[in-house]
Amino acid sequence: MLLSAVALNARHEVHFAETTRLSSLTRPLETSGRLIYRKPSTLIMRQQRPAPVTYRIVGERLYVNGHRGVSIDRVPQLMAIVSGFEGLLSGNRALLQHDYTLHLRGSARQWRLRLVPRLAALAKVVRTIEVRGHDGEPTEVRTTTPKGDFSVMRLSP
Amino acid sequence: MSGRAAVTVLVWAAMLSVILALTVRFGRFGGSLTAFLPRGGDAVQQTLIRGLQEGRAARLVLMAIGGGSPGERRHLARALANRLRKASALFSLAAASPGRPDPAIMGFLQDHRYLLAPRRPWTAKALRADLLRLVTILESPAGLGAGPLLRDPTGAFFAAARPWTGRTGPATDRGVWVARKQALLVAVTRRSGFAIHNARAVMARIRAAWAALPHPACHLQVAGTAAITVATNRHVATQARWLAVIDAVLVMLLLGLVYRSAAAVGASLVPMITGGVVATAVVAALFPVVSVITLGFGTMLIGVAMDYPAYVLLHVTADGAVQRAARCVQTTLMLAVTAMVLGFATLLFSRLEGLVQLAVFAAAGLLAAAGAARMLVPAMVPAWPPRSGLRVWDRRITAVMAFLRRGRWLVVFVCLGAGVLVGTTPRVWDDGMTALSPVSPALMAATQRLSRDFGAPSMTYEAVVVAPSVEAALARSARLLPLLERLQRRKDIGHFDMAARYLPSLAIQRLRQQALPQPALLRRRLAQALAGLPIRPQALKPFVTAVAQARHAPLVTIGTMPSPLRARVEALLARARGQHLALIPLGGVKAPAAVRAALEGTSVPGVRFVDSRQTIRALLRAYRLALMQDALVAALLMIAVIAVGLRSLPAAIRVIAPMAGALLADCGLLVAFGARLTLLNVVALLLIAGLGMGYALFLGENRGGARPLAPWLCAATTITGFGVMAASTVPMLATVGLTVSVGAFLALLFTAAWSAPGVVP
Repeated sequence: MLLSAVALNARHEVHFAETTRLSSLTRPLETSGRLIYRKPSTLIMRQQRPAPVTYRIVGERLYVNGHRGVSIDRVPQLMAIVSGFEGLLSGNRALLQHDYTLHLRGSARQWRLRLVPRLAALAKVVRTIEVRGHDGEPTEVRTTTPKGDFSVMRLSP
Repeated sequence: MSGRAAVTVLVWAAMLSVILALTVRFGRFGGSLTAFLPRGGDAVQQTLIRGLQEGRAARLVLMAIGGGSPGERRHLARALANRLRKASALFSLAAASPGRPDPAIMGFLQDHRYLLAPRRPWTAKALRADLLRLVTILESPAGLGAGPLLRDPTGAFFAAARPWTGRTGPATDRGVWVARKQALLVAVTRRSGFAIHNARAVMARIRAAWAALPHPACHLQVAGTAAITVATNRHVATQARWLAVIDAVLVMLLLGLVYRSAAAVGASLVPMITGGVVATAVVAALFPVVSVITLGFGTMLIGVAMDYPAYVLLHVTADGAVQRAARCVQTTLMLAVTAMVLGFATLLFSRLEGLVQLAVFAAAGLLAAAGAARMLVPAMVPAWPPRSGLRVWDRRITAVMAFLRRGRWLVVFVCLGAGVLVGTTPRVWDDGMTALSPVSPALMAATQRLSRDFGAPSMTYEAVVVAPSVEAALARSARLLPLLERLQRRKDIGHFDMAARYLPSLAIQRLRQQALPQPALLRRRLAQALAGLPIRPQALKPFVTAVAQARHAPLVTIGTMPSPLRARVEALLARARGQHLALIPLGGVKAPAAVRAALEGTSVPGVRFVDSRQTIRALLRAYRLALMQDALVAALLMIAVIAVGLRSLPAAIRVIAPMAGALLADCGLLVAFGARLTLLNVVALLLIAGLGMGYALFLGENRGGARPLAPWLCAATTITGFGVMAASTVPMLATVGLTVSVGAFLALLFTAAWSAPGVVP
C-alpha cells in the first residue's frame, strides 16, 4: 500500500540536502542539489554544492559529468543502493526485497521504513537505510554504516 | 589356383590381418597440421612456433548464443558455462561473465601495492593533491562507503590492480558478456586445440552440454582452434571418402573394360592394399603418433602401386602365363621402385616431422606393393589369356607414339618455355601456413570476430625482447613502455600486453622501495599536507604503518605470486636456447612497417618485431629450398641407379629427362593459370616423378614382347583418380589433384615422344 502510494506520489524531481558525518573527518560534509528519477531505470543526482557534479546511473552504468560510463555491476554495494532508490521510487517491492528486509513502523500519515541489507557484501558497507515520510511523500533518508558513520539526506520539493 | 599359390595367398591374408590388428591396437593416430610446422630456428622462432602450437590462442574456445530473447540467452550462457566448468579435465576455464575479483588476488595486490604501483613523488605537495582528491570522493554520493580509501590515500592499490583489471572485454548485460544480440562465452582448454583427439573431446563435450539444455529458439556457434581443427578434419575426411569412392568406381570400370576378368581387377587392388597396411604399420612402429595428414597423403602417394599389377598383367603373352610375365617385368619394376623410394628419401632430411613420416610411409608402402605385385598377383591370377582386342590397342598406341615422336623437339621448346616462365614469374611459391590449411573461411571469420570481441591477442604480430635473464627481460621490456604507449596514441597499434606491466623488475621495485619516506618524515609531510583539510590525522595512521612495512618488505617475484597472476605472467615469458624472452603481443596493428621501424630503432637491446606469418613463411621457404636441393641430389642418385640398372648412362638420361621436363612443364602450366606453388606441390611432383619413371622404363621395355598399352593404361587410371580429386572443394586436395593429373599426362606424352623407336612391334 505505502509503496504504491510513494510511487504514485513520488515527485520525479526533488531537492536534496545531505549531511555526512564520518569519524575520520573533523567536520560534517554538507552537499545539496537535485535528485531526478526517470522511468524505468535512470537516476540522476545533480549536486550543486560544494561543487557542481552530475552523477547519472542508467541501468548498470554510471556516468560522472557526462563522461564515458563505467559499469557498476561489479560493485554490489553501489548496485544495491541504486536498486534501493529505484525500488522505492518505482514502488517495486520485489526489487527492494531482493536486497533488503523491510520493516515498516508508524502510521500512514507519519511512517518510517527501515531497510536492512540481506547481502553480506552490502552489509559490510551499510548497516541500515531508514526512510521517513508522511503520506506518500518520503522526506528523509538516513544511512548508517557498521562503523557508526552516517548521512542524513533531507528531501523537499 | 595351384596348392602353392593358395598357401601364398592364405599366408599373405593372415599376415596382413595380424599387421592390421596390431596397428589398430597399438598405433596412435592423431596429430595435426602442426606436424608440418617447421622446427628449429633461433630462440624467437622456436618460441613463436611453440606459442602457435600450445599458446593461449591455440587453447581458446569462443562461443556465441544467438536467437531467443536476451533473458533466455543470458540464462543459457550461464548454464552452459556452469556445465563446461564441471569438465575440469578438459577446460581450465569456462565463463560467460567477467567474474568476481578473487579475494586472494586482491589481497596480494593490496599487500604489495607500493612495489607494484608506479613510482610517485612523496612530497607534501603531492600528498596534499591526493588528500584533496580524497575529500572530493568523500563528498560524493559514494562518500559513506569511501572510508577505507583513507588507508590508501595515494591510490596505490588501484594503480597496482589496473593492469590486471583494466582488460577490455565485451560489454556485459546483467553480468553476462554480450555482442550483436548474442550472449558470449569463453573457455580455455587444457591441451592445444590443434591436437585432434583433444579437439574432438572438447567439441563433443560442448555439444553434449548444449544438447542437455532446453533451448527452443537459440542456437550455439563455436569458434576457436579446436572448432577449426575438428571442422577441417571432418571436411577433408568426408571429401576424401567421396572422392575415393568415385575414383575407385571409375578406375575399376576402366580396368574391367581392359581386363574383362573379375579376378584380374580384384588382384590389381592387392598391391595397393598391401602397401597401405604395411606402410601404416611401419610408421606407427617408428613414430609415437601417426599424423592423420600423413596417412591421407601417404595413401595418395602409394596410389602409384595401382600401376604395378597393370605392368605385370599387360605383359602376359598369348599363352596366359602370369607368373612368367611377372618374372619378366621384375627387373624393370624393381628399378622403378628403387628410383622412387630414393626420390622420397629426400623428404627424410626435411626436418618437418609430417614430411619425414610421409617419406617413410611412401618408401615402405611402395616396397611392399611391389613385392605383392611380383608374388601375389601371379598367385591369385595364375592364368589370364589377354584378349586379342588388346593387340588392336597396342597398334593404335604405337601409331600415336610415332606421331608424338615427330613432335619431340616441340617438347624441348615447351619445357624451355615453362622454365623461363617459372624462372621469371615473381612469387611462384606460396610458403604461408594457410596455403596448407583447408579451413573454411566462414569459421575463420567467426573466430576472428569473436576474438576481437574478447580482445584476445592475435598471434600475428608480437614484439619480443631477448635477454640473458628474466630480470633483464623484464627491465628491458619496461623500457619499451613509453614507445608502445606512443604507438598506441598514434593508433599504429590497438593494444599490447607485457609481463613487466604485471611484474616490475627487481631493480624497479627496489627503486620504488627506496623512494618510500621514513615514518617520521611521512608523518611530518602529511601534517603539512593536511593543513585546512577536514581529515583527522589519526585516520591516516594505517597508511603510515603500511608505507613503513613496505620499506622492508621482500620484493615480488614470479614464485611469490598467487597462481592465477603467475599464469598470466608466465604466459608472457619464455625460455629457448638458454635465453629468456619477454613476449609482447600486439593487437590491432594498423601500420606494421611503422611499428617495426619504431621497435627496431630503439636503444633497448634485444628487441625484435615478429610478424608470425612472415616468420613461418621464411622458415617454410628455407625448408622448401633445402628440400629442392635434396631433390637435386635425389635426381642424380636416380640417374645413377637407372644407369646401373639399364647398364647405360645415355639410356638412363633418356628415361629421366622427359620426366624432369614434364615436372617443369607442369609447374609452368600451374603458374600460367595463376596458381601459387606450395610444399604440397613438391610432394605431388615427387609422385609424378615416380609415375613418369615407370612410364619411361616400360615404354622402353622390350624384353619378352613389349606392351605400349601398359603405361597408357596406368596413366589413364592415374589421370582419372587425380582428375576426380581436382574437382574437390577443399583447395588442398584440388591443388594436388590438378598437379598430379596434369603432370601424369605430360609425363606420358613427353616420355612417349622421346621413347626409342623401333623396339615396338
